[in-house]
Amino acid sequence: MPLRLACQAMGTRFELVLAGQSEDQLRAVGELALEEIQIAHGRWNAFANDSVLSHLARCAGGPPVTLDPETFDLLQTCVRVAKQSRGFFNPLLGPLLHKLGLRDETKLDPAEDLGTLLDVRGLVLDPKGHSAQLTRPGMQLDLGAIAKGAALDLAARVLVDEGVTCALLHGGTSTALALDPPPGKDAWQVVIGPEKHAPRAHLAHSALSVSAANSRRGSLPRGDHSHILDPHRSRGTRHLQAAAVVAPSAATADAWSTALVAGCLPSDPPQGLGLLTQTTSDSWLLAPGRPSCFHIEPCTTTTPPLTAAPF
Amino acid sequence: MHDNHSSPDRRTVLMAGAGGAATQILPDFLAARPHLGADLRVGLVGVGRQGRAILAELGKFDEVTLVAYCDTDERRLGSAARRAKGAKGYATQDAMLAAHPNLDALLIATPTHLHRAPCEGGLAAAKHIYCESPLAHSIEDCRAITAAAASAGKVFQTGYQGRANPVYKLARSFVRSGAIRDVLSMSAQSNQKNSWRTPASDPVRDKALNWRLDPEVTLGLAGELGAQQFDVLHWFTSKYPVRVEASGGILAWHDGREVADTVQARLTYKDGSQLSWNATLGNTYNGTQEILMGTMGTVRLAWSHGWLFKESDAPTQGWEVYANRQQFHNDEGITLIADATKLASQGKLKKGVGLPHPGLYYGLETFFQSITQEKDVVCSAEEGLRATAIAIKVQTALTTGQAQDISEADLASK
Repeated sequence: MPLRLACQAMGTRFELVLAGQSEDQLRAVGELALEEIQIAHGRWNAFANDSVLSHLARCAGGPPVTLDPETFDLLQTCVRVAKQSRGFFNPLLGPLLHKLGLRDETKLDPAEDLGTLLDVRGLVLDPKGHSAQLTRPGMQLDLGAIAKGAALDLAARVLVDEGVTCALLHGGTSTALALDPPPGKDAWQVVIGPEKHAPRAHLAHSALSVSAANSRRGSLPRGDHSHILDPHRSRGTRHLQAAAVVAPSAATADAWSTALVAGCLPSDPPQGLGLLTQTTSDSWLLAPGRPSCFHIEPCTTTTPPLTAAPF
Repeated sequence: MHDNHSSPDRRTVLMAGAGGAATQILPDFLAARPHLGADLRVGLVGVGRQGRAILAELGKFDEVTLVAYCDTDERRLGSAARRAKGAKGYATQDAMLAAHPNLDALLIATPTHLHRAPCEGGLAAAKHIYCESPLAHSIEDCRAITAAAASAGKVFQTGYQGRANPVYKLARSFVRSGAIRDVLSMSAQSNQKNSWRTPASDPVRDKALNWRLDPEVTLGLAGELGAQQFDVLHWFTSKYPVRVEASGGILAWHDGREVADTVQARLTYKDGSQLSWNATLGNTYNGTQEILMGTMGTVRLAWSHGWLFKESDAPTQGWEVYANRQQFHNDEGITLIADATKLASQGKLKKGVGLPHPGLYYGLETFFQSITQEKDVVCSAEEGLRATAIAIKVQTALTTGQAQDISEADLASK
């Protein structure tokens, strides 16, 4: 029997499905992985005063800040995807979220140009010193879903380091990461949506992220279409309904599924990713000419939560 | 014991929000970068869970350089190498000190029962010492460490973090100035859901890594969770219990362990008041918190946050009008915000809700300031011994089933 462990972090529920060893050993390793997720939550929570992100925001406009290796690696991924996606993925949306009333009461300096604060070139990374610098006061990182994916990547690394290789991990049922498949199976089957004929992803040593434009209507800014922001128009996106991406890491999958819904083109992501986009409520399109491990089936879902069927 | 009976000027705590002169200087505890006034070279002894947490906080101190670290576990050394760029790793403290004789300070984060040797060795080498809590697993080791600290003439700080925590310092000033009047009872809890078991591939490593579950050396939940809380409440009230009773068992994790995963203790004071303490590894509800109930109010502390609940007949001070409040079912808590006056004057009161750094950061900051600025040590070895001695008594009461009396001699460092 697989062992399931879970914890609350980043405003959602993370779950690990582990198999292959004694329950005591699986539990000990799984708890270590959950601890890694909690550490990631503590570092990357934009809402918490004591997070690394808040510390970076307080230091914005000042000298570089030395970072732990995990945060540094994540910011490198953010900058890379931001460039590749032509800015549709943007880790510096904090000021825009404030402006749209999606964060606390902090007022932006009216004299400050929002475009400057959102410019990813203002996030300077120094690989030698493992440091980051936000070049202008008021700049603020908000990592959104990519933090969730990165937490899953770190948890998976703990599992592998401790010898647990058969596992499926998910964060909030929108991001999943698979290691070795269950015994006798080729892959973990992940269903995108609750309907009987929803698309299915078969995952092994890969991650899947699903982003949907309308999955959190209750928290949308006034008059906007989505909680996922289009950084170029400073509003909720009106582009795709949803996007699903399979990538080698959960952080990368999360970044690209967000970027696709925000407005980037299916041709923007690098080769090697599996892409699936939903243009209307009942139409999923496979990005042309791209390899994919999705099994496409008729789909009518409008909100695509992800359910995992481990065995 | 460092004791401050001075009453805070509560009227000025928040009145500035009504139009006090606005300065744009953030309170010290919100400052993005601490200033120690001198450079420090430090070594880290033990790079397990707590050592990793220390590594994360050290990066925030521009003037502190981690020069070297050591651990007997090879895998942990490997992991630390990724996190401690530029620092060198060693298998033993002796090797580290031999290679880096110019270290100013050592941060001791070994398992509790292995605190004594690195503390004594570090002090003998004339290093300032920050030793994680509890101070040791036995009163003998506590006294040996205290004696070494007393004769070394170096800064020695025990890692009881409440004393360095800005929210707790503010709450203490309220309690000691009579904001809740007479303290009737205290309670504390530390709830988490975790088996406390660390994965290990072989029996030798298993014994080394799972020392918290080893009945030969562990102080159990009382030492690893409760001691921090016992220290906070002693610091707030200047009272030490005279008797402890404890009960508990293995209720959550039936995996062959011998160390209780759920514990209740009652600590009785000379005046008849009591501290009720509960801890479990099987449930997370309400996490870790301490509560002091007085005749005029209640203070609730949750490490990064704190609240004051006033009784209806408590005198009104005026400043409450401007306070930040939070509703808990039928009770409304006034959020305890360190340096609220400064924040309120800048319209940034809510910025102070929730500390900007983990408690560990403040413990390290005060330690470094004691070295570079000769500030008072917030928790000396002697204070560390007393809180640890209480935890040892609780654990003894739990394992023997017998109530334990506590005399002044039990808390003495000699």
